[in-house]
Amino acid sequence: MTRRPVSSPGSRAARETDWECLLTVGKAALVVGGVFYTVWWIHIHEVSRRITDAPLSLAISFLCVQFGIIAVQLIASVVIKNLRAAKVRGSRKWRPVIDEHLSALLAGEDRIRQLRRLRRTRPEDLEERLVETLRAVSGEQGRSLSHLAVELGLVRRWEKLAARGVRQREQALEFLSTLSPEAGGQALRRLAATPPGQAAACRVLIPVAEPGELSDLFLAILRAPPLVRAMVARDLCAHAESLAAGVIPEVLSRGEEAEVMAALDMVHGWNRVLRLPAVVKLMAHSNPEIRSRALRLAPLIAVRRETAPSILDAMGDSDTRVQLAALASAARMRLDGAAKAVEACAHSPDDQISRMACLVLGSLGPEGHTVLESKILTADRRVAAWAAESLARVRIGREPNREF
Amino acid sequence: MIESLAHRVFFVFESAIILYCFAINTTYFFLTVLAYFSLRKHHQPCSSAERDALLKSPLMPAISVVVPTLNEAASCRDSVASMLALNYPNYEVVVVNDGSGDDTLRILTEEFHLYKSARAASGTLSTRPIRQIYESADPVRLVVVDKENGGKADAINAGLNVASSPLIMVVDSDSLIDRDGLFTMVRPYLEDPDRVIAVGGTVRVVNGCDVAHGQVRTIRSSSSHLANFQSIEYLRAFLGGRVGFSLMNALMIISGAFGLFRRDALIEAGGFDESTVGEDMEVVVRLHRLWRTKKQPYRIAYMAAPACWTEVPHSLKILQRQRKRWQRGTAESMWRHRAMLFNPRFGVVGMFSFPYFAIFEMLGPAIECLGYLLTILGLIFQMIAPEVALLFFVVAVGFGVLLSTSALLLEEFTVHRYPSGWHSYRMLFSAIAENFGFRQLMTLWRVQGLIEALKGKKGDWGAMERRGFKVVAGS
Repeated sequence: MTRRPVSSPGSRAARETDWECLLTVGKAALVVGGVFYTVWWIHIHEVSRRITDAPLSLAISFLCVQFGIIAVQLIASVVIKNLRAAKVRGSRKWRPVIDEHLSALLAGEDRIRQLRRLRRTRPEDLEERLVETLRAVSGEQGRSLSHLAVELGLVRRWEKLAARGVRQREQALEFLSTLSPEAGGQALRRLAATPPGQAAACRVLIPVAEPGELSDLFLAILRAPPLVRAMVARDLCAHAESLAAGVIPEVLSRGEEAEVMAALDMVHGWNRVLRLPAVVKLMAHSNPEIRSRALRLAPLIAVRRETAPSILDAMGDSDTRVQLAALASAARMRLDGAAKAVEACAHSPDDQISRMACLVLGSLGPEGHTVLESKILTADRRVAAWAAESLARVRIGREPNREF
Repeated sequence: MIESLAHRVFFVFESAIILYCFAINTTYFFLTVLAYFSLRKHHQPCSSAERDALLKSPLMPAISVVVPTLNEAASCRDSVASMLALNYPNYEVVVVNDGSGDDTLRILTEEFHLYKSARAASGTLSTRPIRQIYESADPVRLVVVDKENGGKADAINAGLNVASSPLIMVVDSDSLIDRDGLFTMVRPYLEDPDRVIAVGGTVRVVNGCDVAHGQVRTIRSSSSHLANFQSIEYLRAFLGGRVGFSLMNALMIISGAFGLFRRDALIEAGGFDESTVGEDMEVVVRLHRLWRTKKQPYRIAYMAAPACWTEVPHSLKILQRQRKRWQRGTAESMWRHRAMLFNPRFGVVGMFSFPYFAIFEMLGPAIECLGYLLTILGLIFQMIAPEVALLFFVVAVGFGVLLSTSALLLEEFTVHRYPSGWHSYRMLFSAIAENFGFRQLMTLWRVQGLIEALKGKKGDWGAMERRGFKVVAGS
């Protein structure tokens, strides 16, 4: 997978969506235009010959078309239901035939001609039976059936289907994942590069990807919309250590802000302790969004000694998000010697920071509790209330971490 | 001479009304067709694998579900429990008690073991004073805000101030939400977080459905025709109109019962407006106006799949009150933002959806009534032949039937949540029958609402008498 310049996934998707919307509006306009053309046609060629009053003739034509559409809708509803039932009946009849051909093929007989014919007449049944058989076999037989899928043009079809609706995508990706890597791998890789099949294709590829390919997938995922990242986060978690040893430090040091933030969010989502010293540098980044994300990761990056000074410094940051992240990390790490800095935050004019600081003091052990007790008597009534709340929480064993 | 002049005036009025009927029905029809294509293409539900991955994902954004409530002592326990049981990995429920005079707060305190919290309101919206914030000592993320009465919009704003998440879901306390509602609604935001500022969801009628554990288990038509007529109306509005408008990024209303908003966007826009009864429409129009004025790309999306279920009025008296209030809300929102009407600065909103709402939704009932009046006068003074009047009436009713059956079939072909068989036929009957009397009655009440708006009648919470959900065994 080649690296391409990063453009906002949101804006790319937005452009695509705008075009699709325009197309849909055009289609709807065509349908409405078609209906009115029909009304006009009936008016000119049929009704106006019998009724000379033009508005009356138009109204009657309109009425005819209305009732025509209502009738067509009702008939379509009944026909569709019946067609679905007929399809189910047809499948019951043809599936054993397809199974027989596939078994014969695996036994070495030449059944390609019959299967080609079935590909034309019963494509969906053939696909389903082929996939079922593929799941049941392995080794040479699996490769042989995968080759058959390529020969029958099924891989190309599934790749196209995977870019369509949800149901087709789910089925197509399920089918592609049953093929041998040489038959289905390329198609899956292409799908993993762009939406809409991206998340599902990545989820199929991640468990079997080699380290190099995994890095490329990870980079593609960082550039994808948050929906894709949310879907694959847990699948990537199994490879967290190898990613932290390779591609993540590379991304963090490259400094592309959108990618850095996405990578930091991903690591935070995994909630696993990883050795990522590159994060410490980001705690002093010029972008407060990156600073706050890096600070939030402090308890997870296994370089505690180096992160502590950054956390203490960040408590005096000018950005509220950064201060809150620093306080949260101090609480989660139960940072020694942090009580003084946290106490200073408790007197912040910002209510959020002030309350958070009081809650953090509650999680810092006896040192923090002593500070809180002193705060209850302070003249600042809001700090006194939060200090009392924090101590009450400590007493009822309600950990403040849930707040963080 | 006078007779000829009267004929001419009558002809001009009658022609204008026929043209108006043609325009309104064409627009409705266009929106329905648009919705059909859009539902097939853009509104497909998550696959089961995608659903599982998202439900377990640690990267789902936090959501605060804000539930304004007033005098709901009878139902607050169940509705809050049902809100706390939604399928979403990262959310909190913020119930705002808007100065209830009954036992709402006591019941919530006892049921969810609330304790007085010193949690601070971080938002900047001005509201009536908050008396106390409570949190649950149970392992659930429940915050209850007790405040002085200030109206529904004020209660939502107080919830917004207290909420801690970047996304806010506003939900009516007497509604039921599909268990997967939150994660389906958040999907458009995850696809395009920079642009999506709000997401609307579908509201459907719960009358007749079986409910267990705060969830709709079996979807049925109601034994009451009045409820079924309203079901058809809801389908037409939500699956037809709103899907069509959202495709053009011109959605003008997100139901107050079920809408997701970006908190920063709402706070920037000034929150919900307590001086109107149509606060849900007004806030969406304001978001459009603000973002179009800033010339920043944005999207107000709509999801047809997740549903919020609400009980519709059983009696004509309550229905009348509700419709008058809705009409007043529309008129107030339109009047407040009248500068957007046919203003190209506001793009498709100013040139299409705002005029649609102003001309068809706000003034439509008055014009329709005028049409009926003129036809009756024309018949009395023999300016119009009875067979012609009848024909135009049949055409108008026929279009109504066409739109109603289309909405029903739209549901059947796309979302497909009504069971087949007897219930489908009953709904089909309602789709046809509602055009004979019910629709005309609604028009009359909406005119009354418009008159009330012109008189400047003030808003209220719009509470309605409820019979409760049809709870099945095991709940």
